Amino acid sequence: MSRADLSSKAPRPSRRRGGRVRLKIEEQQLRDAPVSSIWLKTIESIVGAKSMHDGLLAAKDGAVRSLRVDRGEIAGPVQADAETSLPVAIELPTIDEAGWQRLVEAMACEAIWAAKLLEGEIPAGLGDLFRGCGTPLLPDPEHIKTHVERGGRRDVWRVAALGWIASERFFRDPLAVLAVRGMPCGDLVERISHHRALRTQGETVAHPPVVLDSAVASGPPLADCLEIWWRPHSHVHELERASHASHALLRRLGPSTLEGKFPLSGLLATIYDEAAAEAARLLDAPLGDEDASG
Amino acid sequence: MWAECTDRWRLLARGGDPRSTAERADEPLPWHPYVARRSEFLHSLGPASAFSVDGECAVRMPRDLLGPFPSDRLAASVGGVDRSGEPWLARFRVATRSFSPVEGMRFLLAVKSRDLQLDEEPGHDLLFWADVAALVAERCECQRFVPSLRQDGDGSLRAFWRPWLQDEEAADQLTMLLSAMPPVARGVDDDLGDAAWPRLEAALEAMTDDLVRTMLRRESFIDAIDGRDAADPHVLWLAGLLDGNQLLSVEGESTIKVIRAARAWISRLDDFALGQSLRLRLDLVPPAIEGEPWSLSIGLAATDDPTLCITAEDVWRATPQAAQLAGESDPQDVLLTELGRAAQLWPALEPLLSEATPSQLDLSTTEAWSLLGEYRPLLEESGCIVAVPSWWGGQQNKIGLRMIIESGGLDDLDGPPRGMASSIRYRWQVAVGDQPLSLESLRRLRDQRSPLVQVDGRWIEVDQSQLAKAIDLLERQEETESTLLDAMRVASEEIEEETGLAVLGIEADGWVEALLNGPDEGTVKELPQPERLRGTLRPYQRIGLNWLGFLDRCGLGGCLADDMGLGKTVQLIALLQHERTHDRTVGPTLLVVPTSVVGNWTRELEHFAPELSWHVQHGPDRPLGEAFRSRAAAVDVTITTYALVARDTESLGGIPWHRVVLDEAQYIKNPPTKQAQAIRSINAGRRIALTGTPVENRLSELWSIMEFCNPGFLGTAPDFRRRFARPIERHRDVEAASSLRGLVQPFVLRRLKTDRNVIDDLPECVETREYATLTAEQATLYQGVVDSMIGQVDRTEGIQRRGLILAMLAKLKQICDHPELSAPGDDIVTAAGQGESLKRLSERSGKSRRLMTLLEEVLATGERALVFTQYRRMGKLLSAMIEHDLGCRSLFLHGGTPMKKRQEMIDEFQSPEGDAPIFVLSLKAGGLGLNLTAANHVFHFDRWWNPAVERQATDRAFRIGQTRTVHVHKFVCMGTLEERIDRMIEEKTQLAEQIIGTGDSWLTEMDTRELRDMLLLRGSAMEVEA
Repeated sequence: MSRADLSSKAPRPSRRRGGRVRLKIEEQQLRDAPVSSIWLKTIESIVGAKSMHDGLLAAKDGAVRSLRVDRGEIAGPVQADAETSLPVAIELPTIDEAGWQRLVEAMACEAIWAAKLLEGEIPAGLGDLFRGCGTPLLPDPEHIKTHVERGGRRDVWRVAALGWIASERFFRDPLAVLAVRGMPCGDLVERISHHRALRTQGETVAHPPVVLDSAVASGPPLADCLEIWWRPHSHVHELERASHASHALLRRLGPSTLEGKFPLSGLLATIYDEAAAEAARLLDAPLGDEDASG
Repeated sequence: MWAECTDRWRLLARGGDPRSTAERADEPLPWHPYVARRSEFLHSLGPASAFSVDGECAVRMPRDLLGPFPSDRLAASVGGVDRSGEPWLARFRVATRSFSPVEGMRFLLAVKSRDLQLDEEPGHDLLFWADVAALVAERCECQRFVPSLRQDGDGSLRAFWRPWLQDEEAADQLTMLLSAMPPVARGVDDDLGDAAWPRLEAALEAMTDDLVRTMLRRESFIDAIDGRDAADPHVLWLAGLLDGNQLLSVEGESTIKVIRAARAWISRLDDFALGQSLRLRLDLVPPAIEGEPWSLSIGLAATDDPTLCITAEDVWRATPQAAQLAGESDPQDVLLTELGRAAQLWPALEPLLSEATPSQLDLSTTEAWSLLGEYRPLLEESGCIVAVPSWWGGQQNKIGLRMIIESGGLDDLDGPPRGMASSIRYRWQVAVGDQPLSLESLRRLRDQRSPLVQVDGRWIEVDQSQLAKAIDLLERQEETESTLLDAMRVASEEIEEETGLAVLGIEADGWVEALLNGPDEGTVKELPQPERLRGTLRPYQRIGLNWLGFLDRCGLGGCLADDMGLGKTVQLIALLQHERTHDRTVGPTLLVVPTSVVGNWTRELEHFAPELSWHVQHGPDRPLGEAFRSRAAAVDVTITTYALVARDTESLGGIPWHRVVLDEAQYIKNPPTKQAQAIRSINAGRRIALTGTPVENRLSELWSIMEFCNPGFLGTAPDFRRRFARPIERHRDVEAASSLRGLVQPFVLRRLKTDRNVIDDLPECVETREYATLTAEQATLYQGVVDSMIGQVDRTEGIQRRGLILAMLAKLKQICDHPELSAPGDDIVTAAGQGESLKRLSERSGKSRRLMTLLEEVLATGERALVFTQYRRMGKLLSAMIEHDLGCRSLFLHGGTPMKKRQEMIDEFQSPEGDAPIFVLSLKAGGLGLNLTAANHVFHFDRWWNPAVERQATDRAFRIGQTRTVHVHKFVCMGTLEERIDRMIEEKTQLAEQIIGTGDSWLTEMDTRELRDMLLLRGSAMEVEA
């Protein structure tokens, strides 16, 4: 079903069994919250004011059995009669990679976006930013498809009921809308920081940074070192080396998280052994055995 | 690495101040004036030069109004450089040579290990980068590196290998390296900027990647992914890691996915408890009775102080101790979280996770062993604290071998002594610590099939494969006939490689027992002091003679490594006399010495053993070939120099020497040099090395000396480095150190002045003459002054004559000190080395060269010294030489030193924390009133001819508060007026009576003939250019 009939009437929910989700938050609160309000306007423009009202009553009465918020889809069974329920789905187009790239680039320009997202908040002006990048935070109603299995035009209130329950989810977790649009918040934050790293440092790396005392890491200003320009500040002395188990790092890494099929760990084990032997040879006889044997 | 050219400095110096030509106004970025040109340093790169390419770069260097500063090494080698105005950093252009990181490492490590001999002096920056290269190789050797990914600014993804630097060990090393980084290492003006860490990190990363990648390319590892799905993320990453091309064929969203997944994977290496105040603690306790389970109890410990810990019971009962230790953390959450993480690493912990309040786990012996041997290091480097029984890992708790040698008495040996080639018999004993294990016991252990067993109440670690080999060894129980060299080699390495069992010790009877026990155990035959020796050997010197005689009888080489001042020379001379007491036909001894001590040896031979005949094989007129052979055969001792051995290999090699002796044997510390190789190739029945510093800096020096004494005994140089040098130097490997000590102890006799036995023997003050020769430059100047002034003296009379004589004497004494003192004015730089390459300052004077050698020994033993001179300029030069040649700071006190500064210097020198162990003093300023008892060596670089004045100076160190023997070294230039006056004083002639207390004035009363005779340069004065 698409573009449901706005005039259909919602029956009073009858006795229900099993789990159900009741709308608990006041309608006005939902209509005032940043994401929920846009969401409700969008759903209302699809189902019409009457069905929206019927859906509200049904949602408050627990007609929606469960809610599933996925990438590109909000779905859940809505009560049909005392025994059965009908699967209902609201399909939203996801933002394509180019769109996300534009958004990431825009958000990487100001730290406030990532900072707010990290705190779990929707930054003020996010909708404007999305729109400015040609990708509204929620798609226009004509791009949204609704679906009630085995249902007809009169079942449109069920879409509204699901919409009300989803609005409550967006009220509690406004950032869930990002996952619906194709990118969970955590991923978006990482992409923003990744992009910022590239912008500021020209690169980003997979290994963690080495944490050093900042004064030691920078060294004294060169201009203060003119009288000791060629001299070491202190002497390098030999340090006692801890004993390391064979393949210690590889074993601590465990199976790769890259989801590849090639047996990476096995090959790395061989590489660790061979590289260790190569390094030992270099240390024992840097110029080769013949040159060093005297 | 900065390279500059001293010759260019000299050339520029001819045209005025070398720094004035530093730049030209029309060049926006001027060339640095004395940076080395490519052709000048290319040969120094060794094999790396073949792989290098030309280039140029911009550097920042300090300069002042006169131009860029020379390096500290160059400045010290020319005795200091004047400054003008405030310095600032300026940019210059320099020629460069670039090579691959792994070739760079090869070069740096070869310099560090001294496999590569540089003609040039390595700067501090080169030595710093060599330490960086060593760190990289060490990290790779112990498998502390990871694959990583980098996304460049253009979005492309590159794979590379990188050292893992996130552990505590690396943090300490990085902090030390960063603190030591000389500023010049940050002087390159490029994208890496001024900060130390980005430059160090770039080097660490480039070296690691190239080291691993070079091996992978050579071994064609890329074939492993041939034909594999290129879109597979593993294959994608490996394609950038295994070959020369680092770029990954990936774009867009996939780029982020790959790098994100790699980051997530690598983050598993993060320390569990990083940033947390508590860590998981595991305590393993063995059972009281074998067969019962081991107990592993869990708890938490404070990260800052692991000794502060609580048990899991404390945690679950929420005791006050738990609350106090946990602070703001919830100890129950921490315990469970950390336990869960630890269980991922060591699955044996998993049963604890199914308990409501886990606190203790019973382990089988096999599980306990796997924790001890395999999982403990993993858990520890992941942030857990694992407490294990204190006996774990000790040599006393492992099965090992003891070699039992049967050698017979010395008198049983047939024929001439064969040294290390002597025949012995040996067999093996299996033991735990000192306790031998019978074959039956070993079989019982095998049947128990347990990795940890109790033997007589002691837990021991049993490796079943080693045990099987030990049983096999005993079952065969063969008595092997072998040479001593082969037996020692088997004991020191081969048997362990074959069986995996360490050799815990060697037991012997007969002469090998005496060898192993050393000279103090009474097993070495006592020799009488040679009757002809003019002097009395001190008790410890008698022991030295006995030991030398014993080695001699066995045909073994040895190293007499007594501290400086304990009389190594007289012990050797006594040996030469002893062997001639009973056998007049004994063959000649070849004595190889540094040029600067040839005179010392001839004087000592004349003094202690005038009946011994000697020949100095040196100089352009030295006999060669047959002439040399007959000359050498006719004398007891032939003295030659290190420099000549490599040149006269043929002549020296044609003689069957009874013995070769190396004095200052540290001269052969660099094994690859032609000189060291030539010396080792000399054919001699016996070899003795004399040195006060058998190991100055590195253990490889000990290898060189032992390789000379007993060739092949310590294996090849790379073997020695692998087995001993690196484990001991880098990792403080106690077992390797103990093993090496056991091996070399029989062949090295070293007594320190601080040894109780020696202290009791030594007088409170030991006075030694240090004889030096003049260099050619000094001799020319000396002769020139005598020739030009003696005539003037003859033509004048009265006060004018006396004035001329005094002026001449002053000049001659200064020339004996250093030719630089004869140059007019204070401008050392422009006067230096006209017409020849700029030499090291110390090389231009026989005295200063000798002083540097002696001071090196003082420093090596951690002692302090006073150096007195009459001349302020000489003091300045000595300070520069000490800094340049010995790399250590010195203090210089002279008449112009303000009173406050003077006291600061004295306090610093006397302070145990002071870092200036050498105090140069002008005789007038420092000869009286100072308390400098921190020194126990006093050097009189030039002479006052007044024993009272010299004694007053000596008394700065030899006074109340001094607890050690004071060694006084008086320098004398042979063949010059110095030696003749010194001898007169020694012989207490009538003339000497006139001398004492009158300074130089008595000489003015001599007639011209006497004066000429006094001043004449004798043949022995000059160091002959070989």
